[in-house]
Amino acid sequence: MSKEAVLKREGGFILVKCPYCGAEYRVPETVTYATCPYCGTTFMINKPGERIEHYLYRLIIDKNKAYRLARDFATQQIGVVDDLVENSSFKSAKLYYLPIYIYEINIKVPCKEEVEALEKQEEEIVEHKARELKLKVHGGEETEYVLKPAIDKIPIPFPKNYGFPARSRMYFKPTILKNGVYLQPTLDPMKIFDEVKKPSLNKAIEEARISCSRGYEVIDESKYNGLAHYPFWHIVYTYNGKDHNAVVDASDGTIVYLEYPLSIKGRLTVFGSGLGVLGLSTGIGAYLSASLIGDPLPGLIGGLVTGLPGFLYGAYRVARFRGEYRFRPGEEAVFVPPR
Amino acid sequence: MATESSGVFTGTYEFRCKNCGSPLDVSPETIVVVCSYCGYPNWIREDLKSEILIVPALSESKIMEKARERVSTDRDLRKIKNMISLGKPYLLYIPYYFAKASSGAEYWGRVRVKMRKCSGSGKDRSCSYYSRTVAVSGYYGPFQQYLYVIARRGVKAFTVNALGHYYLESKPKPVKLEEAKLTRSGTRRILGVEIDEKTAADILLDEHLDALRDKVTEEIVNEAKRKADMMYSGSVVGASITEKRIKPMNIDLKVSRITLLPLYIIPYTYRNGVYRFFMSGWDGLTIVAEEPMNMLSRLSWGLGGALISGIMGGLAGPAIVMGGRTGVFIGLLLGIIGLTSSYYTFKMATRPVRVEVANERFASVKGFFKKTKRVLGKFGETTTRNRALDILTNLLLSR
Repeated sequence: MSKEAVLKREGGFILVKCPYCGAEYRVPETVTYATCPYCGTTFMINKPGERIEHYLYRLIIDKNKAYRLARDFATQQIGVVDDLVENSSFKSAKLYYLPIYIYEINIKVPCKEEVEALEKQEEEIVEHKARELKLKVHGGEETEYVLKPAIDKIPIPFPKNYGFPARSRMYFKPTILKNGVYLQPTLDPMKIFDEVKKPSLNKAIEEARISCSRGYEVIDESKYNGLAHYPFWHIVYTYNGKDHNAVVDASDGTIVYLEYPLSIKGRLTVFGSGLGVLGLSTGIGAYLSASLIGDPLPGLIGGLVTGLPGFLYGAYRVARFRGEYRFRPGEEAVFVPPR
Repeated sequence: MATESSGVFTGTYEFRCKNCGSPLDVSPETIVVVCSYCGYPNWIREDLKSEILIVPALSESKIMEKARERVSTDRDLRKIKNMISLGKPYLLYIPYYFAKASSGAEYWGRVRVKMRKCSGSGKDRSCSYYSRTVAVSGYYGPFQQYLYVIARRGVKAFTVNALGHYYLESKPKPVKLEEAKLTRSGTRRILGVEIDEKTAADILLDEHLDALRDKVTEEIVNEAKRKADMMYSGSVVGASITEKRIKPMNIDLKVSRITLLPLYIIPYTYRNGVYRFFMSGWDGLTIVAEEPMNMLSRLSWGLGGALISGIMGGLAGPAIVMGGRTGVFIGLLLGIIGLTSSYYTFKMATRPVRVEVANERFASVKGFFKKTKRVLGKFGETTTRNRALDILTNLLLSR
């Protein structure tokens, strides 16, 4: 199986031969992995013998549903036009499958004098298949799963630290290659592995540093798990002859990015409220200052300055050509809906 | 990955149930998958075979009743209940591992404690500051914790975490999977297990020991403050660790069997918007609810923000003008609080949906608050906070 997969290179493309079913097909020269459009086998072009785990997230939301979700969510935005549902229409939809690498980080940093004891205990655990793990000594430790986009330039607005939903995982099927823009991974998963591991490694070593008196040893059992493709819809809809974009997670329906038209009334209301809040803050500041030190000016300036970020935030949201919403994982259930 | 197991691998990435032959929904990471036709658990990784527990879900009609109840009793929703229409509930069984963890730590630390010494009273009162290094050591423990981890890889979803958290609070009784007598509509909602027990134990241990280290760090600071208070004259106004050693020991981690928890998602519409209730499947408690932002909530966030930033600004201004160097320092500090709260509250006032989380304690560990806490924590570890409050009280009292 580990025969040479590359048959020919020409015009920015490589002609490869699938090590599993023998089919021949072309892929761009820049890719690290190739997925056979006939049998679905994914392999590394340089090491065709090494097949990797590859799965994808099921497409649950179709393009019409994605459009409706985006449009309905737009009506919930502040300052949006009143007649969005009546006067907007679906224009186009493009499905992207984003490649994502999955890493399992597992780092243990036991103290030097205790390494032996730890090894002995691990043996016991295996021996008895014990449910109870009793580890008496510890330096530092970090275990987690990390997801990383497998391409440099993501063609759609995509949030940082976006995780997987709990459901809808399946084996990779070659049929999806026809339905959307299937992005081939271009980054080398092993090359970015160190960078992915770094924060956890540093944290575990720091933990060991504060617990070990005679040095420590790093046991790194982290591994690269494989590749997943995750579907996203890029939806374009029109309102009043103008195009607006939306990006919708096609697996769980999360609105990742959304543009929406603003109404004049909406703009004025938000701007006016911001101004009102700013005025109130300034007034309270001045009053407080006057009653504390008999001079309203310092408090007036204080209240004006502290009230400014809220006003500016509101003004920025409505002063633009159109409204914009972005899902940020860190703001989940606070500023943005939970997944 | 083991292919010769109870799920039969047919060669083209398709597994079939060993019991009834139906196709199975398997991903490369799946450890066990429950057949959606007959409910038979197929172990893809035979080597990890163990018993599965499940908390059975309420029926669909029961959960709809709970959802209607929520709409007619919720403070905000009952006013608009005639315009709300509930959609069909969607059930999921999500696999978790739970753990009871206990540990202790030997610690040792050097802490720089800042003291304030005052003499005289009224107008003659004058204060001076000095620092002393205090060494502390001892044993902290036992520190006990109940924890959970979702048995799926790379999952980041707020609601799934909220469910795990709620399980630890409400402690419903799980039963063995075979005894649950699930119908087909129940078994097809079970998600496969992708994290084995050993990795789960590593994740849980990591989380537990991180919490232990935080606790011990807190303890080192507090002990140093107590010591300084007894040893030196004046009062403690702040402390920061200059050196520490924390050695976790006596670690005991008991990991549960795989436990499947039911989560109901119930969509509802109000005007054009779609919102969701996330309900615990065993008792119908709404653990997370999305609700429409109404004028009142937007207004109260806006006015509340104006009030806080106004007060902060109103105190900051005079402090900067009147208080000399320390006054400037306090003024800037208050100003920062005012600036942040103004931004935060206005962002809250203009967000698209309101999210209510049933469990307040869980709500406080949400992402945003975590970040804020981290910043405030740094602020608290130094002498800054106490000193600022101290000078502020002096300033206000002297007026």
